[in-house]
Amino acid sequence: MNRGRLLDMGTNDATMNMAIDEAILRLADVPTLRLYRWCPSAISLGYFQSLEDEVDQGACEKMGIDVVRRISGGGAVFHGAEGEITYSVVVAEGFLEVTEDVPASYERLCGGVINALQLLGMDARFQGINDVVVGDKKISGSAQTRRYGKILQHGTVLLDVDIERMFRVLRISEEKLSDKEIKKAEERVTSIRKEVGVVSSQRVAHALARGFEEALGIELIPGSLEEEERALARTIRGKYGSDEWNGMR
Amino acid sequence: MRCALMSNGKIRGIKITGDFFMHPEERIVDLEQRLIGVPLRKKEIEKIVTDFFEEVVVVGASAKDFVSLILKTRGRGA
Repeated sequence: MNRGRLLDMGTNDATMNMAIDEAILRLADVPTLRLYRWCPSAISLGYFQSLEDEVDQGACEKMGIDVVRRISGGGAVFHGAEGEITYSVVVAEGFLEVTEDVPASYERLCGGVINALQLLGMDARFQGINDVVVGDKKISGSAQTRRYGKILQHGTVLLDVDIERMFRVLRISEEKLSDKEIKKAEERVTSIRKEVGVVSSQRVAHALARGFEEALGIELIPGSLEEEERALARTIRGKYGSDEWNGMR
Repeated sequence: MRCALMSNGKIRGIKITGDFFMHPEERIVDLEQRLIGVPLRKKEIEKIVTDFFEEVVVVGASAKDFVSLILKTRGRGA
């Protein structure tokens, strides 16, 4: 069986989390699953999103919430320090047979999250383009970028959800709410806690590792960042803290 | 998706934002640059956007979505 690397449950601030994902994307030469958390809580913004339109920066500052732009597209995500686990998976472009077909590659990689949630007792399924739902409620969203001959997909798995806090820092347009056909946000989102009660983050992390092993058909060996990756992450971290990058659009 | 536009009949400045996916991401700037100086008319905009979509992979929005977004955005005048 092919082997890959498991990087388990580091906690960093937003700039370092995004710098590590980019460093792995640039340098990793084996399939890598990284599981991590955010402290302080943060909003990550999709590459193409407008900082001003999506985020109430004043509220973020008051509440001590970081804001960072991702190298991947997609929507804004609130990463609560306690309320979620983020995963990132990096594979060579040739690794997935479905690489050319972007939606199919989301489905394949989201399979890791689906397997994990099923292991924890939830009836999770894929909902295109990039979500995982339980029932008809979103529990996980993901975003991909493709560079350096590799695919990076990162996404969040909700342990608990604090919609009120999320809404205080994200600017949710009326348009978007009406697009979703009047359903309240609380009714559209769920969490592991809501579905099966409190599960420790370690247990969720373990399930994610098993889930991705199955989805990718590889064995994940616990490892750590290579010194080169660490050094690169330290170098590029500055970009993720800069107004030039975060205010780019 | 949103579009910020400055125009005087022709596009003078444009920024397209939203939660779509485009690979490679940085090519969005090429599209915006190609649109500068172009009349705000369906035929011209459609040609540029459609040609651009041949060069990138976009998920979560179509060329048609981009064209109609641009055309429905009111410019801020000259």
